[in-house]
Amino acid sequence: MSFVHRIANLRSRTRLEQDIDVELQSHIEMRVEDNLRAGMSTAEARRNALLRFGNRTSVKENIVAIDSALSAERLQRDFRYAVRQFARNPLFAATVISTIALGIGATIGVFSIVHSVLLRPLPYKNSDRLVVAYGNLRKRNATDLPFSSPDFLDLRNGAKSCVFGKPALSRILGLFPGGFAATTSG
Amino acid sequence: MARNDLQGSLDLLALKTLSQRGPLHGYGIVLHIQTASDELLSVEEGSLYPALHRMEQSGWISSEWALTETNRKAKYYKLTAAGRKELEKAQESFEQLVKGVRAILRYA
Repeated sequence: MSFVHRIANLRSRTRLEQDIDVELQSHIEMRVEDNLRAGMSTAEARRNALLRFGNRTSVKENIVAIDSALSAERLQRDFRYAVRQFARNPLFAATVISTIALGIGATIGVFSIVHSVLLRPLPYKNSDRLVVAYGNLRKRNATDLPFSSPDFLDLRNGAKSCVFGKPALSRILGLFPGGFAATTSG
Repeated sequence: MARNDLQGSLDLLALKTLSQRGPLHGYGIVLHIQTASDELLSVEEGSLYPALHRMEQSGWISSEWALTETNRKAKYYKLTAAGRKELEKAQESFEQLVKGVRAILRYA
């Protein structure tokens, strides 16, 4: 992004310098034309024009400094103008300020929810390996039953070799006799 | 020939020229200053441009690109309302200066 910015600045700066060059060059050319009309030779006319003009490079640098230094001042002037307009038209100012405030507020609200619910890791050790376990009664077609702590103990004792991580647990379906199955979802 | 003393009053000369002659490019301003002063005043021509750009940034004059009679692209400067006020002020203070200097020269 800043790269694009830099290119844009570069372009506006070279345009500024180009304008100055064209302006100074056209001055010199007009002096040359007048000199030719006054009867000077071509070489003499140009020499005289450059001599009368003085140090062109320093003049140009001078102008560039003036033009770019004052654009900062213009920014300050714009700011003061905005403040003055707001003071003169408080209703408009209030509308603008509350619009921006609501926009910022809504954005912060949504982001803080997303941050705490989705982005921030849960405050447990190895939080990336936590799972949620549900019970299923397959024969009665009942799913998503709450998983009680005795169920959990049974599951842990009966499956000593199993790793309590997502990939292992999600395959424990049909582990319990009598149609009781434990499904997990991460 | 008042080459060295001209720098301070260059703003005044350029503003006055624009108020009398209407929109002009830098070269036109230089020519006017030379002919109107009977060649007594000669500006180092390049030094006029920083002054013009500074005055434009101050809002005393405005500029516009246009073609000259000989079809050359040139930047034309025009006096603004603020520039007119500035011209009056500068003219007044210059006359004060001349009066003061003259009074000292005549002091006996």
